[in-house]
Formats: sequence, structure tokens, C-alpha cells
Amino acid sequence: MAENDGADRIAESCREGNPETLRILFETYKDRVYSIALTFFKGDSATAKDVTQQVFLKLIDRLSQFENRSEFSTWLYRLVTNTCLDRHRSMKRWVLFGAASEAEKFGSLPSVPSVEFEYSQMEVSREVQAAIAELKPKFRIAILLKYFDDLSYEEIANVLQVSMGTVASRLNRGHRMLAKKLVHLKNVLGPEV
Amino acid sequence: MFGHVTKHLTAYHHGELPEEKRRRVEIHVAGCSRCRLVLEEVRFAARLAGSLRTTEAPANILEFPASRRVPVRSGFLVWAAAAAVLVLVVSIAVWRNRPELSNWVIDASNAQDSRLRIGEWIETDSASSVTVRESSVGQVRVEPNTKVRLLQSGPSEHRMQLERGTMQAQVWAPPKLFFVETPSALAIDLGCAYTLQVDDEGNSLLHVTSGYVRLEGSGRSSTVPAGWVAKTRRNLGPGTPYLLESSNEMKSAIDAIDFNPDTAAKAAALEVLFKEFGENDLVTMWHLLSRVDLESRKRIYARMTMLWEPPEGVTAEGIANLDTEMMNRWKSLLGLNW
Repeated sequence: MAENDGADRIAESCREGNPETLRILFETYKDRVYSIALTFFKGDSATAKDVTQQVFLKLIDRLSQFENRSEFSTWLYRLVTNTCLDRHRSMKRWVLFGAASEAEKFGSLPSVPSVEFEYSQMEVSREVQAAIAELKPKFRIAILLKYFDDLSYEEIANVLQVSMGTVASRLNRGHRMLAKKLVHLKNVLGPEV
Repeated sequence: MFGHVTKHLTAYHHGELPEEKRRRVEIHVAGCSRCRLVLEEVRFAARLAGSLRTTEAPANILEFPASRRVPVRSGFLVWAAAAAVLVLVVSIAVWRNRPELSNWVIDASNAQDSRLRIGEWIETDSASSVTVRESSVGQVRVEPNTKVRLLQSGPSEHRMQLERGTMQAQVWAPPKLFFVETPSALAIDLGCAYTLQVDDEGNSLLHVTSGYVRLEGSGRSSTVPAGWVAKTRRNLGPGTPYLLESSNEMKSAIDAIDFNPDTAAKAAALEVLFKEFGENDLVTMWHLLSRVDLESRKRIYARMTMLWEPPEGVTAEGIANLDTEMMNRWKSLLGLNW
């Protein structure tokens, strides 16, 4: 949460009623919020956009009540997490009506990709996103918080309101599942720097 | 730390282990080919996840401050949602007992919102469901065949009563602001999302999906973390939380200990639990400490200390006597200290 101090100042300014600062806050976080939602929802950009909007609407609603500035980022990412999980549950209600095509939007992975296939960085990234999106939500969100904003285990624990041990366990299981799903990429990643 | 260290390897890779544990992992990995392989696996996954790049949000997303719009679904879903609204309008029965309006709104998707009154019941039939929402608190999805009402709505407390059926709550208010009364327990939100079901007998089942919920009733209290489940029984209050994926044998044994009055059945159930208990069941074990006799408590605690290093200053004798401070130290260690 490198921008935490800046965000705190912005949040304080928002509470004081300066509309321009709200825009700055939005600009600071919108891409990360959108990216988390986009990966969480298997590349469904319409849902990611809705979720991003909802997050910022909730943020506006509650900004005036927010007192502990040091927890601003935690609070924001908790909104993101809850909104994603909430939407995930509501979407499941529609799954019988044709949501199967949602996964296809993100590009389903070939089951046994050819090792001769020339992967670009973008393609690797797309496969990683798709594999993360297939994880259970609790593993998915922990990985997204870790890698989109480099949150510490303590920060993730605060966002998810679970113990640090639970965060460690979820990340550990998430990483191992991810490695198994993407084992075919071992030969296409360059040497570790 | 016992045996292999695979469960610590991601935290090790991320530099999140305390110094002593980090050194122990390092020493173990140096001499264990299995853990080295897992560490490679973790590093590989971390490299892949590290390749994630932020995607720029669409430009028109900036429309958001202009108005509060219900997100529009596309294609078939719009019609499905519209049909659902029609069903909803026809089938929800609402009795208005008291005139005081709250800030909770009944959200019928794109239909006109309407504010819920204090004391007002919402009852859904087998074909309907509805979401009620308070922007500063959270939202509650009222599932089919459910009867629920708003009892109180104010700056210090929002309270609902779930008489029967199922509700899904997502709460973004600070902890201990949102309460749900059921016939057998009170559910206290500690910052979370959960599903609460009440059957026709007034017994309930709580499944927490995010954060924590505390259940209180009949002199008992249970703190239920995300991924955990707890039952409640009328006149007996909340049972012991257990992991959703626990075996059926374990669930039945916990039921027996919590709700079966027969001493022999409880003793047999405890033996089942001793076969089942693992490191992931520490929360269950901690709750059971205060619900079993002295000898059983000593056995449970011995198992706990085999599975996890006890907090500093906690003794077996203190736990046997249910020393409040020592129980709280374990509670804190388990992340239940709310």
C-alpha cells in the first residue's frame, strides 16, 4: 500500500467536501480495482466495470463515516473483496440461463497446449489470469490482493478479516494449485532474473 | 514445526515468516528434496502471478459520480431480471405494522426502490426472492420461503429477525452494528458475509463466507470465521463451529456433544473427534474446551498443543481451569479475538 499516505490525505479531503479530491482518489485506484474485478470475473469487462462503479459508490457513501485514516486502503480493498464476492454469488443464480459462455469470453485454455506454441508475454498473462479465475474465490482474492497491490499478509488479513495464518494457508494452496494448472508454461518462461 | 514444511513455503518465499521459523524452514528445505520441489513450485507460481499487469479501466467508467444507477445487465439477463421483478412484485407479501421508515430499501433490481419500515415483515414464497439494502450497512438477500423483518435501524444498531428461511448478508458496516435474531440465537456481524438458515423448528445453520460472525444464545457463544459453519438449537443456543468441509462423522460427533443430552453419546462422539482432529480444527477444539468435562478438556488441549505451539504464558493447568486470560490468548492466536 505504497500510496497509503497520499490516499489518506485524499480521503480526508473528500470528507471535507472537496469534489476534485474524490476524482483524484478514483484516478488513483480505479485501474487496480478494475483489474482485480476483471481477473476475478474471468475477463468479463461489463461485470468488472459494474463492480468498480459499485465499489466507488459505496466508498462515497461511507467516506464521511471513515475516521481511521491509516486503514483507508484496507477499507477500500475490503469493499472490493465484498463487492466481488457479492456479485459472484448473485451471478451464480443465473448460471443455468447461459452464463457458461462467460468463461469463454476470457478464453478457455487448451487442455494440452503445444510446447512449440510461441507464447508472448500477453498470452502468458492471459493464461495466468484465466487460471487464477478458476481458483475458488477465497484463494483467488488472496492472490489478487497480493499481486495487484503487493499487500503484506497482515494487510490481506485485515482486508479479508481472517487471521494471518489463514492468509498464509490460502496463498500457499493458491500458489500450488496455480503451479499445477500452469505447469505447461514452465518451459516458456524465461530464466529467473 | 513438525515434519515437512510445505505449508509454510509460500510465506517463506514472500518473506512473511518470523525469523526463527524462517531459519527452521531454511534448514529443513536444505535437507529435504520433497520440500525443495514444493518450494520450486511456489516460486514458479509466484513468478506467474507476478506477471499480472494492471488493466486500464474503461474511460466511460468515469460516469459513476453522476447518478446512482442500478447496473444494467445485458441481453437475456435483462429480460430474466425483468421477469424476476414481476414475480417479485406479485409474490412478496408485506405487512406494514408500524409507520416509521428506515433507510433500508427493498431493491427489486430495476424496479422503483421502496423503503422498509421498522417492524415490517418481508415474506417470500417459493418462487420469489428480494434484496434489501442500507448503503452504510450492507445488504441482505432474502431467499425463497423466508420470513424476515426489520426490528431496528439506527446509527448504533441495525437489527433484523429471521423467523424462518434463508438470508444472505453482506455487511460493510463496522463490526457489531448489524444483528440478526433467530429463534435459537443472535447473530452478531463482525464485518463479514454469511448465509443464515432457520428451519421450521427454529433451529438454524450459519455459514460464514467472509470475516466473522458471533452467535450468542442460551448462555453460549461461538465465534465463526469465514469458511466455517455452526448450528444453533432452540433453547440450547449455538453449537461448536466446524469447517464446512469437515467429514460427516465429525459433524455428527459435534452435534452429539453440543445437543445430545446423553452422556454416553457425548463420550463416544469425543472419541470420534479425536480420530478426526487435525491442525485445521483448532477453532473447533478451542470452542469445545469450555463445553466438555475436565478430563476431556485436558485431552483436547493436549491435542491442540501437539498441533500448534501454545501462546506464551499459557499452561495446561490454566486451560484445564478455563483461565480467562489464557483462553483469550489462544482465542487471539486463532484470530477469534473480537
